[in-house]
Amino acid sequence: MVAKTKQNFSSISKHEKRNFWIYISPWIIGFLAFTAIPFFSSLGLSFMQWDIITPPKWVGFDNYKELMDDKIYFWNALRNTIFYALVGVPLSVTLGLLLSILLSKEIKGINVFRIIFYLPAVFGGVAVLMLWSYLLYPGTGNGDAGLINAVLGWFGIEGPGWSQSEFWAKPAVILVGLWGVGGSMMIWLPALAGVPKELHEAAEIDGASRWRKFWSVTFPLITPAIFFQVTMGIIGSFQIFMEPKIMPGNQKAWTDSLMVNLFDNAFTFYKMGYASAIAWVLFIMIMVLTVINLVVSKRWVYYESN
Amino acid sequence: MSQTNTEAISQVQINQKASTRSKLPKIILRSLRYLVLTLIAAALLLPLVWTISASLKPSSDIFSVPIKWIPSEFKWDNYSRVLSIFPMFQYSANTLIITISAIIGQVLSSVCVAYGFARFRHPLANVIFLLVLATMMIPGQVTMIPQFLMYKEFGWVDTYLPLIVPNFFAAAINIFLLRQFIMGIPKELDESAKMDGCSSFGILTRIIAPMCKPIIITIMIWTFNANWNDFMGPLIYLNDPEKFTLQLGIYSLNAGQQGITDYGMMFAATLLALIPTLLLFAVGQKYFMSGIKLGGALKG
Amino acid sequence: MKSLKKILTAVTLSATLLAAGCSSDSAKTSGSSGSDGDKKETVSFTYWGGDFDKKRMEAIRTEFNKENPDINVKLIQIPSDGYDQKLLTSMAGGSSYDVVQLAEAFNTYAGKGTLEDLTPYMEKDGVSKDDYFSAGMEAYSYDGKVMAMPMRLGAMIMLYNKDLFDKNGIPYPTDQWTWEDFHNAALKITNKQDGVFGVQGVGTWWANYMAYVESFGGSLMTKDHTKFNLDSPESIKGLKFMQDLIYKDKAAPLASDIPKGVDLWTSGKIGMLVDGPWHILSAIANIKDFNWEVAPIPTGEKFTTPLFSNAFAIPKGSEHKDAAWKVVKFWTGEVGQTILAKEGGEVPPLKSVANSDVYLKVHGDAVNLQALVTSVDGAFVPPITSKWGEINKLADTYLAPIFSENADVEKQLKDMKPQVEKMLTEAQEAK
Repeated sequence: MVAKTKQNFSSISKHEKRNFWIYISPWIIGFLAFTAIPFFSSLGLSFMQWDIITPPKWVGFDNYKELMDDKIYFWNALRNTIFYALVGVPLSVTLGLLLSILLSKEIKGINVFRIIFYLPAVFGGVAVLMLWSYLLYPGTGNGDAGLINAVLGWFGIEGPGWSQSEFWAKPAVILVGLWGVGGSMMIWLPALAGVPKELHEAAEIDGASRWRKFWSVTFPLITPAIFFQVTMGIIGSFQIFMEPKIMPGNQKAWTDSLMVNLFDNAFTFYKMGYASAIAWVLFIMIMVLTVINLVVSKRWVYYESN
Repeated sequence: MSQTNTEAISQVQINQKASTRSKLPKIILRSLRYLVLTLIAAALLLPLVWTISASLKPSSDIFSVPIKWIPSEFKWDNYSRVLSIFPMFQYSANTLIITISAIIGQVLSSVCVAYGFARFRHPLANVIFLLVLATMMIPGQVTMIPQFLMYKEFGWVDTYLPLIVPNFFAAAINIFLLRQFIMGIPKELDESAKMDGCSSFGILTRIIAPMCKPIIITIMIWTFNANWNDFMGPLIYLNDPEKFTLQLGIYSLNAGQQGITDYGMMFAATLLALIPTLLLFAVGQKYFMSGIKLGGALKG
Repeated sequence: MKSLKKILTAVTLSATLLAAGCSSDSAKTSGSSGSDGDKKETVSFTYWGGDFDKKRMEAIRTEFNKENPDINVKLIQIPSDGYDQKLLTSMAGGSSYDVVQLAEAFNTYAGKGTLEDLTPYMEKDGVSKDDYFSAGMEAYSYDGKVMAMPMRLGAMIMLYNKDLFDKNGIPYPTDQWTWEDFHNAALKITNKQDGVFGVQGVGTWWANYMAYVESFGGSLMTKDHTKFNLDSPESIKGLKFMQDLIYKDKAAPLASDIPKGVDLWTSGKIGMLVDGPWHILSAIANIKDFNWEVAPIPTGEKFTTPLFSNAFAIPKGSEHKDAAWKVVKFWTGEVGQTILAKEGGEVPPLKSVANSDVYLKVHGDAVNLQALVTSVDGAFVPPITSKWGEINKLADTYLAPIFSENADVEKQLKDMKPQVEKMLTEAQEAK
């Protein structure tokens, strides 16, 4: 596998540098015109007290200090969020890939299966909220169990209390998110299709097993897609919001994420400065992980063009 | 090892396999695949079936205990009433204007920017790429109000401009995805095109962009969904009911008479709004597997 | 550090302060949508809700236009889900509306001086506070000034399943019912085999717990909003009564056992439902299988129940204040209120309309709307301060274990007290 150690910048021609700027210029212009001001405003606001209605007031690091002292909400939400990231990202990446492999073979009727698997990813809004409450309803103790526990019951399994139980509340939130995992086939399928059949056949000559074929042929070629999914998964799981809102635990402290905390502060408590401070703490955590991910990726992500 | 050689050998290999091993495992394997697919599909469809049934029920049936799968009476008028409560066609047309503009903007700008990141080196490239990713890491909730105030200064409030124009400057996630994909395309293809006298822009339009078709389809679908289902953007920026979008209409159904929601009608509206999204995917998914046919360009 | 501060401040202010400070400037651009030649003054009027609200608002506008042909009312309906954010954003840039609808956010907006004082207008036009239910007026006064006019009122009430009362030989609730009567009935009605509960409506939502606590003579905080009072003996009695309904008597389902939407009441599994007045119209529409009726909640130390309300206010930035006042006055006046009354749901704040047969007899004798009027008349205004959102979150955090894990009441309150008092102090300082 190619591991590029050090780029020699002096070897880059002026022409290439100029082309770089030309092609990325749409993003640069957009950033300067539309993104930069709100982006840095939120950084500025994190050092201010702002109720949105009256002008903001400079308070220095007060918001950040308050944050560090907030054991009830902030630290609790941070713990929950890390749980979502640690458990949710590996699960959704692996499951998404497995499902997509199932869906990648052009067999009869596969189009229909793909549509069905994709459906939950776009089935949103209030309907889903109602749906999940109904599905994971543990029952009032007289047998009116929700669908999922009823199905588990057919197999003699007594379903857990889901949102009603401290232990299962967070897994329930992750489960809601995993329901839409089929949506990731939009990235996996093109990536899998990019693996040339010739390579598989070549591996077969060597008598490679399916398992072996996957690891030595398919896997290296889809690492760019895996890298994309992991990076986006980290960003997404740190910003998890709708799922804990849809399926809060019996006690919200069990499931509240940093984003729920942020949203409360911004729009229910009118503390936009404080909410911005949460956003920037979130930013720094995601950024650190992304940089690590980027650096490590040089070791395992294989780009054909290098 | 030459290409033709590989093919010939593998053909022999396959034939040998077919003869030595019995055909049974293949059939079993295929049936197994269908079985697994069907089981998962059934699990995923159950909620949809419930919603369809709910959309046809009178309100009293929907959340009854225990669950009723078949409505006690079929309320087809849940669907017809949706159309009478808000101007669904006008709102859909408004949404479509925004959505189509956004798709055009995102596809053109993302392909261009991603190409810049994937194919041209620059000492600052990594830093700028990190900045691109950084824009995804600040949640919209805290940039929303400064952004609103900014667009207000531009005089763009109550127009579609804040919802359309930024799409022409490439979203970070699209840049990222396309960059990953383009970096997976062997550079030899560029080189040979260059030999044929292609400029860098020619390489983009003739080689890279066509190869990115599956990913461009993905981006089109994403952009469609994001804009078709956007609630916050239109909510914040639009004031004139004439300009309202579909989601503003659907959300207004979530408050029926004095706080009691007419769920039957709301589910009907949700399902109706889902149709274009699914149609688009049904058409688009055919292209997901039209992968790069690398052929002879492969390194042996 | 100093220069960083300067840069950050400059960048932030350029985006926020600038626009926030120029409210008069922004009002100019938005309010002038009627400049299409005719001399009509346009009042932009935003409200939340769905189809039902839209019909009501448009019906009132039709009547308004007959009397005020020179004013064009532009109604802007916003889905309830996004209304708060929409209003907040627009207020950040100096409101673009001339009339806005408010409920719990009223205190915040009034406290920040963003709303027009309506008292002078009322005096000029001879609109008397006494014509309205006092709780309704109290809820929308700030520092003794009326800053919004109430449009719709409601209160926590009790709906009961008559068939379950008959089956168990219990006499129907009356206005004189005590919590003991309530308790006895709950025990008799509860039937585990049939999945029937005596009571529903025990939870951490403010109106849920305050209904019991205030009625037992307690409160969340002292009247002057300076001290935590949920640990007073009366308050504790109320909370324990609620806890016992769930854990000792098993007469109420765990609040968490009923997922959003699942409707045990409409399915006939609940004897007495303590909840808001919105259940009345829903019950009329959806309940076919059993008889039901409405009553005020039982009486403890005194009769009282939480008030629900919403109101219309005029933002200070409006450039059409006189016309806006005409609109507010008309909507909350006799004509507007009569149109509301005919819905037969929420109570019109204007006493004369609420007590007339126009309202009381909408549903004939089928529903005892008098019970709702009595409730509104005796209702208390929830103790809303600028920290209302945070205090509700604290209440949810600390009270939830009481109703879902049978946690010790005193211990939870002991932990809750310093947190709430910190908020109360901050609210006082912010004034």
